Amino acid sequence: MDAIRFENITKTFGKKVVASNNVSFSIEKGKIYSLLGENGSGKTSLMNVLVGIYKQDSGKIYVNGEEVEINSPKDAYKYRIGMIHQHFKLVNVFTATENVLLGLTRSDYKQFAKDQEDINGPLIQNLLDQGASKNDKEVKRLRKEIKDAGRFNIKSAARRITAICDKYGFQIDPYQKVYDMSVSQKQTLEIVKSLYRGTDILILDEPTAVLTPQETKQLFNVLRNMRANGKTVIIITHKLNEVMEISDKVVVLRKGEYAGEVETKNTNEKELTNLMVGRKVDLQIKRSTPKNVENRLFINNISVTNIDGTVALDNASFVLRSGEILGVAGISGSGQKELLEAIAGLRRYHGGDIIFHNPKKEKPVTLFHHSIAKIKRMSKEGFFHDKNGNKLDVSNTPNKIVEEMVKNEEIIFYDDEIIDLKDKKPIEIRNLGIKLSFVPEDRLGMGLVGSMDIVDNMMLRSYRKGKGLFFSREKPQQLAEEIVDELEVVTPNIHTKVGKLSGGNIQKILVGREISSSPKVFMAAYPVRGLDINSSYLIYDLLNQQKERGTAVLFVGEDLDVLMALSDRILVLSQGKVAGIVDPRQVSKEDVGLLMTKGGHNND
Amino acid sequence: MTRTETRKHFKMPIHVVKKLDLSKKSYWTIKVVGILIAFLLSGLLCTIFAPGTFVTYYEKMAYGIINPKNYETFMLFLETAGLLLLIAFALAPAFKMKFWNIGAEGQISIGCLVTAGIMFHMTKTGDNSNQLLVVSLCLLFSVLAGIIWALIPALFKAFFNTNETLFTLMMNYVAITLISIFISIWIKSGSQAFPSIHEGQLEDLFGMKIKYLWNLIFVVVIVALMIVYLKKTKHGYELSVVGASLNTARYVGINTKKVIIRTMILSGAICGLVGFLLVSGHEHSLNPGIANGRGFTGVLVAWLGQFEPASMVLYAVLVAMFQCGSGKAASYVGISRAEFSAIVTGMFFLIIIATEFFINYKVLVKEDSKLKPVVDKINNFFSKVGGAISRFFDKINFFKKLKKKKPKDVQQTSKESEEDK
Repeated sequence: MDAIRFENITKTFGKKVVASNNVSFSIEKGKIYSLLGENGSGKTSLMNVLVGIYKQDSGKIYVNGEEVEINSPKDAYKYRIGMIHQHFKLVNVFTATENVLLGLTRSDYKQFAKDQEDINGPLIQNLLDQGASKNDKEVKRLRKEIKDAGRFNIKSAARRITAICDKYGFQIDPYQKVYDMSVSQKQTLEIVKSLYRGTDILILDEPTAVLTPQETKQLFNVLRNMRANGKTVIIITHKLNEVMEISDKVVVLRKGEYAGEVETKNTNEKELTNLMVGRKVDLQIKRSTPKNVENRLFINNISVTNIDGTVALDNASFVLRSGEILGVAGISGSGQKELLEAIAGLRRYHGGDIIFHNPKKEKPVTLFHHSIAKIKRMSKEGFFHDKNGNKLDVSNTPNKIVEEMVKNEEIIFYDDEIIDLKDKKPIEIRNLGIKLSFVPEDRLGMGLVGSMDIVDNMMLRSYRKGKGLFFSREKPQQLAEEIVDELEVVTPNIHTKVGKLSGGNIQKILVGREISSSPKVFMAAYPVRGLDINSSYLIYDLLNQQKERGTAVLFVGEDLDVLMALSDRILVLSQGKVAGIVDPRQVSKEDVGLLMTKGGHNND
Repeated sequence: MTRTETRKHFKMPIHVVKKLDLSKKSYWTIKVVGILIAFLLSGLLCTIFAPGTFVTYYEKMAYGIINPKNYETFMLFLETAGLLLLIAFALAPAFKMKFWNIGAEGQISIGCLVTAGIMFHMTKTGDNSNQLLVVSLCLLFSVLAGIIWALIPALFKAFFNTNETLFTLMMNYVAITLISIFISIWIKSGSQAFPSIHEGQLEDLFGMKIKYLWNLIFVVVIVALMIVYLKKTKHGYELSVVGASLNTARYVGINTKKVIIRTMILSGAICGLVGFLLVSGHEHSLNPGIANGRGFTGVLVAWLGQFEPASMVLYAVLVAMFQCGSGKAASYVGISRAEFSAIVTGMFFLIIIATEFFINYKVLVKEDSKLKPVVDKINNFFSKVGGAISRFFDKINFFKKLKKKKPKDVQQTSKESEEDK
């Protein structure tokens, strides 16, 4: 029998956004399903409809062959459906057990007692049939179990949790507080919470996004155990290798529509991609050999402390080189955000410093530094250039003309530039003439303003240019048109509010603006998060372009496969410390995974 | 296996869904329906108090706004709307920056106090000096007083991150109490009544004897300047970035403290100016309730207009219509004037705010529900009304004109900035 059947489910947001369009398919009992699709293909929306967070506009849902109406996640538990969301819903100051018990009502406990009776009742009957007395120890224990299940009691709840953990192979301390837990432990707790409520169908939304390769393996083992116990598992994902590894069947969604269903053993990654995107895609990420590599940014022993006193970044040191992509790997929250913000001047750090090194920066000669006579002498020795970079000799030019040329900044001399960026604010870094671009993780919360149109967002970086009280929209408008044109941004026009565009287009606008200043240092935090395959590959291409024109690129990523394929070096962060810098051509994914979890212990 | 057997299941007959991408036309259609309902209800309210006056109410309401025999009625209406608009424009930059300044009442009051103080002392000394000098002094010091009143909470917000809503609210009561104290100092007889002051009346300036004319001139000039400030200047751009996202502002290197303080100085200055206009150009007297809730009504006007100049003008005019018109109508049919107009204005706000629900959400009824025919009828009726209104919009090409304007605006700005260079 089918555990779940969707029949013509349609869910729209407003008039234009169709999250699910007439989707029909069934989920068989006791199997692991992958719900595969690009970002924005309506995977999560469909599952949210199933657990009652959204309400479908039309269509029917059947659970175990019966038509149901689910209005809330609590309703969903009635039908034994549970969902683990990407963002955990746990109370930090509570213990694991307290979190599990949170929100249970009297009727839930009645149900627990009934469930337990269904299990223990036959056992007791069996014992009695075998001639055990009513006061037999084992009979008493089983009776007590039924009673405990129907009562609010932390201790017995903790026992039940331990029993669940033993059954499926979880490792959780029922009395551990949530704030002491790692991300993977929190996820485990969410699963336990769901199983405690008697879930038969478990939905996991991108469960591996926050896990290391090792933790992912552990999770998959648990899921296999659950399958062995007759549970149905649905994993929402867009990672193909995981789909191949764990699932029995794959359901593919494309742009809110049902694109097909395949047995995992009968398919391969290429076929799935084609099904997902709707046409053939080249999955190769190119990596050129770095040229003209020079040290550009020295990060020396910097530490960042959060307001609450926790150390976000601990004594990090490394060198960022031009013409090279430095990938940053690490479990999310290992200090990536703090590192980039410290470099960008947005966050105070202590301990060391950050030194910007720019070989041969052109500087106009000033009379403040040199006398006319000295300028003449130096120009004879070939120190100076004109604006076009040609050698300039003014030793025979009259003083007045030389003075005029100095005033017009026509005499230029090249110099190695070494600038200490410690305690410099973003605006000061800019005023020093350092072209540092930063694509932050939170696009609409930091890089762009969602309620402004594309032109006004282009202006964010440049509105100060020009004197006077008024700003000009002319150049930003040109830039907006160029970016929309070159990066193929899908938008009605350049006066559309950025917040109304899709994730991929928003990111193109942000990256486009940051690249447009031809930066010396380019930093990007999770630039492909939430992007479809096409946009992702466009972003990889842009990063490669930057590398090839000699920019020092810092790329924080979450997908290890991509990091391994794109980066020239990988810096691994673990609990705010630099756990190592490795060459992705020489190490394996597992090695990097190990470094990610090593933490501060390796320094002892 | 499911738990349905053990539980009864309540089926919701309706569910509420968020609307996305509402077009400008349907937005204004809903708003206009709301405004019409407010007009209708105010008439019904009047008939409840004085039966059989439904038609008379609207007739007298019109007379309260435009009286052919007395031009001052219309000037008063314009001035009421103008001052509200000025306050709304004072608050709009602060609100755009997400600085919830509800201290306009106090900033106006303190402006009133300073103006009245200067005028009173000039009258007392009997020094028949230059009117222009007195008025300029009043203007200067009332603006300064407004700035100080706004600057105190702004500084605390910028440097200690205090809650500006509470702070500005409390500053209102300080200002109002200060007025009471100063009246009892200046008027020794013990009665709280403040005499009418002759010195420094705005309408005496340059011998223009038309009442409220000067106030209107000030309103038009300042509003025009504010529109330019908000839409075309770097300052205006900065403050909308700060309001949209503090993190983005930090990211592009905007000094948020500076922007907060600068904007509040501007906000306070205009509110102080309103205080000056109220005393010098309108009341020529002083009492603790002189601002008469204008500061709070201004908050509503700014909010309802979403800080967009055109909408703020619309709402200021509508509120003034209710305040002037319904007051006049009510007094004609024998209802205590001030309270009735306050009730009607309140009702207007309530309905306009309630329309926000229909702008943001739509209510869907399930096919098999008994409620379905009823809701369908209501829906039909309103879609007919809405259709008529949107046809009207089409007829006058309202939105097409708006759309055509946009690209021109951009060109104009670029030309302006070229000239700047």
